Amino acid sequence: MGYQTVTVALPKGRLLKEAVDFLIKSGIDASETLSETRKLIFRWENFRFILVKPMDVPTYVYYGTADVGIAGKDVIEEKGYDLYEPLDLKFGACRLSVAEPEDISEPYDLDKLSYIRVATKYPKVTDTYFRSKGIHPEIITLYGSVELAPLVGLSDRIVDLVQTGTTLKVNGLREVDVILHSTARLIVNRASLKTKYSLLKGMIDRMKELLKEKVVK
Amino acid sequence: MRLTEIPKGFKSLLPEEVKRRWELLERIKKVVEKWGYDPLWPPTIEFLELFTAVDKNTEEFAFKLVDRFTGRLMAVRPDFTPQVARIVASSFKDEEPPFRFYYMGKVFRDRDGDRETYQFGMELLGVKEVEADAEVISVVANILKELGLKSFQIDIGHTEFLEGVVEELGVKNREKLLNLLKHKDFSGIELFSEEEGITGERREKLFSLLELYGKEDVLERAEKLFKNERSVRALGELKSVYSILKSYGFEERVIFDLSEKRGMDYHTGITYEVFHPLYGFSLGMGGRYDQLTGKFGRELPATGIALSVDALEELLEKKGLLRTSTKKDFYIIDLGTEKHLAYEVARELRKKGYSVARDIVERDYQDSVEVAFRKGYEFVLVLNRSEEPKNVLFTSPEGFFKIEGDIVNSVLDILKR
Repeated sequence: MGYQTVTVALPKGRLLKEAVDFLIKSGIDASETLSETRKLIFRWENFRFILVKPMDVPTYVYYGTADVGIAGKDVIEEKGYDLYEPLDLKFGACRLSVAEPEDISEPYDLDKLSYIRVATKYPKVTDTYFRSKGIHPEIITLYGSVELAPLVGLSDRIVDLVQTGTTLKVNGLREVDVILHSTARLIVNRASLKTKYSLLKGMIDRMKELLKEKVVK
Repeated sequence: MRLTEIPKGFKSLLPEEVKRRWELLERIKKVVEKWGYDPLWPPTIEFLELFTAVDKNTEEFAFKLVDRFTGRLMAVRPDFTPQVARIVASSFKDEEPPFRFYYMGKVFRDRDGDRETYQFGMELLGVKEVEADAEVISVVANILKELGLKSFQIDIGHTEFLEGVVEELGVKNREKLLNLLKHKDFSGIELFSEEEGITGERREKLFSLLELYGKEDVLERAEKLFKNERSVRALGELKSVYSILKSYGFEERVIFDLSEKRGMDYHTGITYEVFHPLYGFSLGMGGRYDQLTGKFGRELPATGIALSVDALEELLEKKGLLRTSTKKDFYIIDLGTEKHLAYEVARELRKKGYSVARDIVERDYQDSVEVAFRKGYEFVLVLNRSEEPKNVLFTSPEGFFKIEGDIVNSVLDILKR
């Protein structure tokens, strides 16, 4: 990791393709990361790309192992690290929502609840949200297939990412509240921005221009 | 619970680590002493109010206990600076400023991550001119150079500049804006300006504020944007500090960030933070606190910084720049029943300036020799062996020299070869 190298943490999965397209448009050729290999580290010119789990992107950036990263707002909020977040990249739009079975006996009503039992991959955001509304949450942390929880009686409700709502519908669930709207963000390590200023500022400015053009179109 | 379990966020240093830390502290100490700073040693525990009076956030993260004599809450030092301010205001009442103090020790904060950290700090009190800030920044630059770090950056900001801007823009929710700025949260600021109904030129200014970080040109850009009195005065100070640092030859190491407020509540002017490209966190943070000592009864403008020794250590280790002097000289194994001889020889060698330890564990002496070399001793002296020669000096686990006549003289002769 030299003084002139920029390490970029990229999220495997849902956001990767769009993240790489965006980087290519802003002049950074990260296309190799899309090749179907088991490799986790790629290089292009003075850039180094590392492929990590989406939830881990803020962690790599916070500890300075990566200078910058692309992560969803949902993940950034859940991790809650002290990071710079200078750009909303606008892609990967989704929402972190509360959902419940369509046939639930007492439908979701924030004004009437004093206690809620939810299953989620986002325990921190969920906890903060409900406690800020004066509701005691009991949170069951899961690492996948969250929508299964109400079907088998693990919890009444879930908090999960919703893109189109199809997954919910298929499982007989309906969206009843939105905790946050998420899009992909560029995140930057604090020390990196200060010490690799000319490298990173140039990159951020090019990206910013690109995002403006998009809006005009 | 097992007896070996330890609470989160604390750690022990083992001998090698302790020696490295002492060595590091010694090197930093030498630099600050050359600049005329004197040591202070504040107590570990103070009344909580000392800290909360100057920064209410300390209430949240200070370790608290109750004083059995007064019933008041006490805090285990979460921050050195208020202590230094109190000491100067009470114990140096009649002395003329300026005061230059340095200190080192542990700071305790009850939160996630490390709850005990080691700081080396310095404070310059009684000088309102920016020369004082420039001096502290220069001392820090000198410390880092002395430690072998060349690529560091000192990030300079100004709390008054930002407060002036917040006023000029007529922002209602100051706390929220400062927090968004702290993370350069562009889209957050977009939402914020909608919420607060900030439009037109005010909105543009708010977004330009986000861009106010970088090299010297930041100051010019800021001047064109913000004309309020507080910000203008702050920019004047930043310019003078920059020209002083330039004359010291540090301009390459300086970067400005006028858009974020870091540090403690009591900071009232120029603030500075130290970074290095190979380390993801700040190495130290400081700034001006002109109102602080006044709380303790003596108005003194002041500025100072605390460096994180833990962070410096980690960075220097990464760069292979941590020096250690772990050599130990003699290990003496006396196989006789009376240990007088070992005692005498050890005393003589210590008098001559060598470090000497004695083997006092019962085991085969060959094993002891090996253990001693493994523990880092350079020479192992074995006395009163049953076979001839009775006394020998091992210079490695395999080879020894015969000792003849006076033991100490003979040993010193061997060392000369």
